[in-house]
Parts: sequence; structure tokens; C-alpha cells
Amino acid sequence: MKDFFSMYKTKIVVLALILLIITILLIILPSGPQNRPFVYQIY
Amino acid sequence: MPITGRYKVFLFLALSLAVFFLIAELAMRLYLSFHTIYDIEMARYATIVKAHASNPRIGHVHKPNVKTQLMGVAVRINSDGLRDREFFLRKNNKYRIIFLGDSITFGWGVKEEDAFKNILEESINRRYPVEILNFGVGNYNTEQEVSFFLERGLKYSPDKVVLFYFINDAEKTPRRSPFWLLGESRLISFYWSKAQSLISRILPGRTYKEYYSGLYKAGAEGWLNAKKAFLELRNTCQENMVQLQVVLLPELHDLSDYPFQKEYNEISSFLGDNGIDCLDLSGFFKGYMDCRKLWVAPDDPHPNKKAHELIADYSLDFIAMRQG
Repeated sequence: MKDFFSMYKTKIVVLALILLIITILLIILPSGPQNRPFVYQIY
Repeated sequence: MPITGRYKVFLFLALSLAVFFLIAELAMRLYLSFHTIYDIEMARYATIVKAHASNPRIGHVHKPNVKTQLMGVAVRINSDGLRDREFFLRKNNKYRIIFLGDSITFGWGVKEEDAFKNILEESINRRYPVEILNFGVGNYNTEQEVSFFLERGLKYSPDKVVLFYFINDAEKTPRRSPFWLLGESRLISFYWSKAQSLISRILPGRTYKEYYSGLYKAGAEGWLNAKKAFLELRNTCQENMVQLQVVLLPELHDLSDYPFQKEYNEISSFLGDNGIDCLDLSGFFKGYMDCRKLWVAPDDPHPNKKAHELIADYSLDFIAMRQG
């Protein structure tokens, strides 16, 4: 387990950061005109 | 313990996702303390304000006495689950009207005082003493609105009921998602929202025009239920000597070439044929070329303060009219 963490620590952080950057881009970039009906996640 | 093969990959991905989720969820919550995202606000509305109703025809109701902020505006729910002040059951000398509807009648995204219910109450009060009760609940269809009125509205002994109808009120009664707990995560709600936008662009039949028109196809269950609910409401109102009116609210994506005129004509004909007074507001909005100026936000086509003022202006004479 210790070997695993020492080997993958950097890779785990890099992948998490990539996902974080994708999320930030999704928030920042304009998504264009809202063309969908009212749909609800829960109800 | 040595970790080998695919377990190594699985653990790597799981840990990366966990680290990402933790940081992104915190970052998203921080971002949302300064901004609003429509779908996340709707998920918050569902988890903070809505509660499961024991009556399956109602589906959900507002929890009593809730105070929160949604879409950046204060929302308070009274002790009977209405976004309104408290009302005595016993009527005073004022004419009493109940407004039935969905999130638009609820006043989603606008302050309580800017919602058309309050504007109309103020305007009609200049003509005669009136009090209006807001029975609008987000995501209700006609069947739910009528069932909610039968269960909670009749006891207020209204003189009149006005049902505000929107194009999606012919949906089938929604059930709470089994994954409702995921709505507690802002990050998951954000990705759900992005996925819905993507789906509406790439999958056929998922744009607002196709989806809403599809609700009125011959034999569509939701529209059949809506028609039954209209007749049930008409009969109940007749039995209780209550005046009934319906106002058709416009869909705010395209007002210059209104895409749902055929559907609204069908609804108006059905109501007219069954002796229900109806006012279609879509025609009044035809001059508005830049519809998005009437939206709550660029990602939220609910009517904003300006649109609520217009709805109130255009429906004032119709609603102020008293029978007999």
C-alpha cells in the first residue's frame, strides 16, 4: 500500500487537477442559448 | 499488502476522483456564494423547500415555515406551505381569490413583492377589497394543482380560483428521483445540468419545442390527465359557487413566432367547449423580439420582474372581473 501511494501520489493529484480544470472551464465558457425544456434533477 | 494489476488502476482512479470531488465540491460551494446556477438552485429548492406528499396525485408540497434564498432572492413559506403571508381560514369582507400554478405562479427567481400575484393583488385592491392566495408550487402539473386545491384550498372558501397554465403542465405527475440524495451535492447537480444541456443539443426530440409539443400528441397520458383535472376543478367550483378562470402563460423562448400557438389553441378550445373562462396571454407578448430580456437569468427562462409586470398588466381586467 505504501509503495502504491509513493508511486501514484503525483499521478492522483495531476488527474484530480485535470478534472478540476475541466470543471472550471465548463463554468467559465459560455454554454450558448438555453434550448432545453424545464427538466428537474430531483422532482 | 501489495496491490497489483487492475486493482492498482481502480484504486488510482477512485482516489483521483475522490480528491477531485472533495476539492471541486468545496470550490463550487464557494463559487455559489457569489453566483447562481439555475439547475443547482432547483435542486436546492427540492431538497430545502419541498417534501414528499402522502397523496400521490399531489406528489410533493412545500415544507411549512421555511425561509431560504433561491436564485438570489428570499423565499419564505407560510405555515400552510404557501409562498405567501399567513391567512385566516375564516373570510373577512374581502373578495378572496386563489391562484393555482407552478413555479411561474410561485414567483421563481423574483422577490415575493415582484411576483404577478402581488402586483395583481395591489392593482385589484384599487378597484375593490381583495386578497389573493398564492398556491403556486414549483414543478406542478394541472393534476397536482387541482389535487392541491381540493386538499388545501377549498377550506379557505375562495370566491374565485384562477389557474395559471404553462405549456409543460401537461406532463405526467413527477415522482421524486430515487437518487434525490445526489441533489445535495452541488458538483453533481452542476454536471447533471451540463449533461441535460448537451442531451438537448445532440439527441433528437429533446429541444424545448419538440419536448413541449410532444406533450400534446394524441393520447398523451399527461394531457389526458390535465383535461380530467380541469373538469374536476370546474365541477368542484360549480358545486361550491366559486368562479373559475384559466390564464395561459406564454413560453418565453420565442415570442415573435410563437411555436406553441397550435397547442394553446387546442387548450383554449377544450376549456371553451367545457364552459371554462380562459385568457391566452401569448398574443400579448408578440412584440418582444429579445425574449431573454424577460428571463430570470441567461440559463433560466422563467419570467423575471419585467415579465411578471407584463403578465399582471395583461391579465388585470380579466381577473378583476367578478361573476354576477
